[in-house]
Amino acid sequence: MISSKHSSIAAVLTECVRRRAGSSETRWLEEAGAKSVSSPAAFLEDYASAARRLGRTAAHLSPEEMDRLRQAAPGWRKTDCCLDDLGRAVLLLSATTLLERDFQNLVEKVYWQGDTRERQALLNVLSLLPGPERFLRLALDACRNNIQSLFESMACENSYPAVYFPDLHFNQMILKALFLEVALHRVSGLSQRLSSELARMARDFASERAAAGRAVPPDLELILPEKDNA
Amino acid sequence: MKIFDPHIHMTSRTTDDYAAMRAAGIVAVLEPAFWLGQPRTHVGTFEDYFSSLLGWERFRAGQFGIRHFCALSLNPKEANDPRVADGVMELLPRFLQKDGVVAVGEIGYDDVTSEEDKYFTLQLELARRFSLPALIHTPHRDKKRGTERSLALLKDVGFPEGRVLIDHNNEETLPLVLNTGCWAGHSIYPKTKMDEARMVALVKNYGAERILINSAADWGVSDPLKVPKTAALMRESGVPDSDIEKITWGNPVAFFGQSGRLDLEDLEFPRPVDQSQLWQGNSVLRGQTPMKER
Repeated sequence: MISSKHSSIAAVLTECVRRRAGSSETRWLEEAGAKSVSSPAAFLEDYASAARRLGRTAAHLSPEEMDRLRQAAPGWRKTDCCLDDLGRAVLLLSATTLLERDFQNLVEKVYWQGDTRERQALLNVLSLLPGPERFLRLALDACRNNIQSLFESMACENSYPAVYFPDLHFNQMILKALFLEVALHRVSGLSQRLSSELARMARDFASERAAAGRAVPPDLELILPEKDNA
Repeated sequence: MKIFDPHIHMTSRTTDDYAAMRAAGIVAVLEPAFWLGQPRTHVGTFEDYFSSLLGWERFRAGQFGIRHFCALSLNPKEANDPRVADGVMELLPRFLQKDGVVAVGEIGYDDVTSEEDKYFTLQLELARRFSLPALIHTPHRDKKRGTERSLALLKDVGFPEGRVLIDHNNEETLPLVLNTGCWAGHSIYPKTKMDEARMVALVKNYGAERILINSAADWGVSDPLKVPKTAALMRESGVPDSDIEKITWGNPVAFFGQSGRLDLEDLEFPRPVDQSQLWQGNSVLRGQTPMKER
């Protein structure tokens, strides 16, 4: 049985899709969701084809929709999902009824055999899935990646890193964000993960940049203790 | 003029190539799955290769404003390798569902063995099942025979010829292919196989209907700019612009558009360059969103 938590999130997301996609697309999503409950093979096919079915246009969720979504999923931070992302989220939530081990295998397949958009859609909702700590390896891989949008899907407006990443990996994600010109204010829960080690890395990074005659990003101050910001 | 190179192995090429290609007007490429130059010995290597065509390589192309599509397959050479053949056939159905896959290919013959026959046939069935067109590699040795065998197989299994692109044609195989409903691709190389001048002669002889040209640029001596160079020679030689456009844009778009997975309207506009990717240094993009044309 799908948990009531997952089914209410899926219901909100399906409604968002219904308001934007045609009726046959929405019906497709509902049928695919029903199949996902029991068939991993059907799930993988439907998950892959969701982008072609639903399109990739930005969803632009309204404030009320965001409220409803946050009520169902308190950790939700994403603001820039597209229709295929929403549809894929519905499918993932529907598949949570599978046995634990089967679900874990399925999620790993989605990631390792997924193209970039498939991976991003998964990362968007990783913290909503049962036993999210099981998927740390996938999340860390996204942060080692040089595909900007893939990195951002984990690092930005996503509660997962602040909650589940060990210090070493969280800090490395911040450094990579600096390298990739990703604004640090987009990292959810940053203030909860400040540490002297992160501050040390920031100071070393600033010094490396200064020695190379290159600019130091001003948002470095977000990870330095106040006394450094003279 | 927009150019589509419908057969090029970008995993083997550098970003210098991408930059030069974009500057020469190439805005779309099709990368078919092929062998890497030495055998893969694990099915997992194919899995990761397919993933890379869909992920990293598509991203690399996008950095240079180039749309990247792919074809996936168990290629003719490695169809002979029992370590991988069946395992790859198990992977394909899942991967053929993915965005960016617009054909089954490269399939066909290399030495014309019975294993090659078997997997060629099986993959035509996959193409049929997933409503994808097929990209057929013709052997470089005993090419005429390999082409005849390929055309015969298509007839045997009743695969619609309009959904088949027979590639690497030469003066002898082109008329055989055009006598069927198949499309005909030509790979323009620096020293071997087909060259620009001979291609111009073929176009003058046979016209532009169902004719495509590509660079097939790969790990060996090859040139990713052969399509624009051939187009230039065609122009100099008096081939009408409308024919050149058909050969370098209209035909690839029409052929691979049969997959139903090319957004034709989208393809008409050059892909936006994502400045956050290319931008190297310090300066102005502090906390602002880098320019991304949407």
